[in-house]
Amino acid sequence: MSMANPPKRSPGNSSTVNPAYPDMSSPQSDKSPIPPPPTSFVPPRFPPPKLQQDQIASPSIKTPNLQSPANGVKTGSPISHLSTPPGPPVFTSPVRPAAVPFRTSPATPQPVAFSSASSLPTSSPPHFLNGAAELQHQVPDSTEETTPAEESPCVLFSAHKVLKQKKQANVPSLGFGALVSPGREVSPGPQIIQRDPHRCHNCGAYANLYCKILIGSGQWQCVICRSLNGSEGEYVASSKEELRNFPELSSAIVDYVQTGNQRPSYVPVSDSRTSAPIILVIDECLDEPHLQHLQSSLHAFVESIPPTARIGIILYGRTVSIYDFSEDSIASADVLPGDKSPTQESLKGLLYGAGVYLSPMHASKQVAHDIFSSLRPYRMNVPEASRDRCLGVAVEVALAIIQGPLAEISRGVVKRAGGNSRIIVCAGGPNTYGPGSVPHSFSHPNYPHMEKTALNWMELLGREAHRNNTVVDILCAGTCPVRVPVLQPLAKASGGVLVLHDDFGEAFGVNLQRASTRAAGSHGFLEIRCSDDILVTQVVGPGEEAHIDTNETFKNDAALIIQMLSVEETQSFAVSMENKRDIKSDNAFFQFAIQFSNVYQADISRVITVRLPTVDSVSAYLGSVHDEVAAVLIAKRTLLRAKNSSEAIDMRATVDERIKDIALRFGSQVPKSKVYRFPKELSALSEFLFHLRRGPLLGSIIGHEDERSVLRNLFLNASFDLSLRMVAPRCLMHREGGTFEELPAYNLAMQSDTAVVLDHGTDVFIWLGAELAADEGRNASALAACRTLAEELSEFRFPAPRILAFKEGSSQARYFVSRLIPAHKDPPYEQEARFPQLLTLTTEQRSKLKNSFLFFDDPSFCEWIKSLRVVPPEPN
Amino acid sequence: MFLVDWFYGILVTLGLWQKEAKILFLGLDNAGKTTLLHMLKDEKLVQHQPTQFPTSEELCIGKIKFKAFDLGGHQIARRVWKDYYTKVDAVIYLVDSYDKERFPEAKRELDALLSDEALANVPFLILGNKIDIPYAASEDELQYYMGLTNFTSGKGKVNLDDSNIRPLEVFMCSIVRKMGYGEGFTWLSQYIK
Repeated sequence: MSMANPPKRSPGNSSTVNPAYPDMSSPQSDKSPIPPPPTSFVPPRFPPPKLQQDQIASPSIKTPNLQSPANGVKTGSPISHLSTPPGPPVFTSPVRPAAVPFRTSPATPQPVAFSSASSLPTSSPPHFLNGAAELQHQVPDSTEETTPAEESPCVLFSAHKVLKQKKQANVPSLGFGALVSPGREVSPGPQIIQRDPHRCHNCGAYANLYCKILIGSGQWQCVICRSLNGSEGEYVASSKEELRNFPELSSAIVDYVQTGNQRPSYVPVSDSRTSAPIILVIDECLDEPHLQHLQSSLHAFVESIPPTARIGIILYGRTVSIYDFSEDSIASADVLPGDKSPTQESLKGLLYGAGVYLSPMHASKQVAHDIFSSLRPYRMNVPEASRDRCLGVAVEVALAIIQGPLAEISRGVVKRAGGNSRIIVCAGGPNTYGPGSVPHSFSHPNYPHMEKTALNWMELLGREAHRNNTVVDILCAGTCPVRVPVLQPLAKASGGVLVLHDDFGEAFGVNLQRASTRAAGSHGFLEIRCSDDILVTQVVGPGEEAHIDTNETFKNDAALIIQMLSVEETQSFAVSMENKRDIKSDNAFFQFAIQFSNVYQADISRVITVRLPTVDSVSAYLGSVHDEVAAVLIAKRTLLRAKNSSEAIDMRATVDERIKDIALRFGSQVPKSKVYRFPKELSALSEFLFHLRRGPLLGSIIGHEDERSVLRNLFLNASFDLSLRMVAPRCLMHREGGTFEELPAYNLAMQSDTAVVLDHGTDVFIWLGAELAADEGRNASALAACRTLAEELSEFRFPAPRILAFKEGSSQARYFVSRLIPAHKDPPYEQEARFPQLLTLTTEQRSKLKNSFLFFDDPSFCEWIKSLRVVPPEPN
Repeated sequence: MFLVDWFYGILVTLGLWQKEAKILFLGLDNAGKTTLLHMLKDEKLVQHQPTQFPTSEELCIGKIKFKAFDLGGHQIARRVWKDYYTKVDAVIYLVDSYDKERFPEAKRELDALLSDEALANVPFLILGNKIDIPYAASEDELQYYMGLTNFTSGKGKVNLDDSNIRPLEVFMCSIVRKMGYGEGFTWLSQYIK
């Protein structure tokens, strides 16, 4: 979604819908990685957990210049704190095997038993921060001086200070803003308040810990509009300390929970989330090898889902087959034609008939297995791309089954039962038959027109699904082009994702499971209020601007309200802001209120209030910049405008202009010359932007625009962690003893006697040096350690990345080489400054490394930045 | 205007100016297809990741459409190019002349293409790439390992119009050194009408 509103926010500004997209990089135990034990389902995620935080975080990782403890996630104290209502009993996570050499991800909350007898929605496991807490203890981070306890991982600002002078603050090349992750798990969990919030009668802002309170009268002053409000005497206290007992007056993040009786559909039992059905919509035009992969992924899927989950199975080709679970000995299906949308009569025949099309797995698991085993490969002699596939009609039928026989009655009424349902499409080729289809050949005389019609139809279908609280995920695999542009609108408008896979094997299987188990709240709204001096200029993320008139309740509510497509744990909104005028006050305030129904359909209002000090000094401001957040914000703004390949090329040029402008405005002029040096404080930012420019999002390392467009859509909605990884890969070199050393993602890491893991968000690569590979024993243990690391890094990510391992010099090694900054042509002093690990190599090792590089025209970081007539920043 | 001139410049160099054709780049993965395509496009040598999807590379320069497909590996990728082009005007088959271990695989794929009816009489330019690397195969070696000794149709201008002989020739090149393939294209262009 994009809302650009300079100079003035105008309602009706265009909003494009982007799919909701979680990355699962924040661990939680109810997402089951493959192969999941069938018992691993821990449904509830609310209220917050009181589990022991396991602190085995990465004892052995060396982080030379730790700009990014655990992907920039910062936490306050890890001390868990108790709040009402009581949570489930305390569990300690199982101890990890000692053999595990390295943990970036938390020593995780593995499946935690939990008390289903609890009368309230019970807890989710804690959010672990990839060892951030521990790393922070080891290396004090200078940017942390502004009370880190105030920063919640739900809201990350690009700087911890705000410039007072409008002219200095509003430099678009750097920009100021925040990444808001509404559904993100927080540890310790926010305090729960089971009563209505106090809100400013004037602007609608919530009372919070920064409010001035008159303890005699209980009146409070709004931080946003400075109005004085009453509290019906609630805030009357004998001392300020007493007020600390109010969670909202002592904590920057609180959850107001409505568990009242006004919501009859609210069922506070632990497994109510499982009542939302999942329908698998499966391509039946697969060749033998693809089908075999798919079958094993489907079998594993059925084993992974909780027994109470209801699933449906639909196959599509030239027709739509809806499998019937009432037959328990043979796989049987009802068949509808695929050339046109299903008629009311045919649907009635289905819905009122004797067939069972949605069945809980405790009753029908074996039937599901039988159905998957009965699938047959495509028989006819038709090329893959031109086989008839009525994908659109199949999704229509799936929607009708989810709505059920009551669909007609409930038309026009917002149905709340069951939370978000899911349709997961498993596609091996394009939609070529029936509505929403395109001809299999681009050379069809009417192709452009038919594509346009198909795009519109798909988007309408996606919106229809969204109206019915159904998320459509499309998981594609194989070598046949699926026509991404046609399918994308369906996923996007419904709040789902489209993911491409090489085959229907491992990564596909993992994603099938993670797609089905990722939590999704619904009916989400994000309200943004900030000090009157601050203007929100743009929001990028999975939602659209909502036009809700709150003026009946609040006289001057200036909030920007965003309707979210779904509320997923790890999606985020990139919020860009500007100063409206020079700021006089010492602080600027920002309040983010997220209203949603969680998976148990409890209504939550999560309120996060942030206070940032304002400063006159540019250097103080630069010192407070959070490079990683700033880079992600810039990248999202840039990618929003890179809709096609030619725009992507244009956007590369804007990255160059940014570098020049930041150097000019914030850098220092080199004595006796006209050139500027890029500011040292933003050194990491410049490298992130170089990765952005040359990597898969904007650069030319991936082959096809469709692939880039899939990544772009994921990226625009992704959480901070995944976004950062998609921009700049993280490079970890294997060391003797099974430890890993984090290094800059430069090709100088390609040292032949080592193994290197490169985490690029949607891909994790394991590179095995040729010398290492020659030593079988060492190679095997290094590979095992790297695999463990790769799996841990991505354990809770969605989509699950492809994990590939290959040898130096092999064909696949190009995945790795193309993503590293080529620094081999840089002079040795530059190399050593930016890649100090080189200094630990012997002369012989260094000359061997130097001779191992192939010649390419790609510039190094230094060459690139110098080509812009900017002096590279000193490395941090 | 500069851009237009420049594109035509390449076509003139390659002898393909004012010709209309569909040309397939085929070969095992890592033979250099994508690198060559991009070299033709903007004369820049850029490191790419392996081409994942078969539609990945289509490039138009003037009226010439180029498209690249990986062969080998799994079955599906091998025959997938046929789904896209019913008629091609030329095949450029790239071989990594340094990767001798994969010569048998490269030969197998080439043999399959040469015996494919859909490609009967289509001119084949075989480019032995990566001769910049020491110990890469020589032209004679490559011809031998590909089973083409005595089957090439002759370099230079050779009129094969009425002969029913398929134009087929081996040229050695180094894409990273920007050498060798130009001669190959020039040779090929005489057989593209």
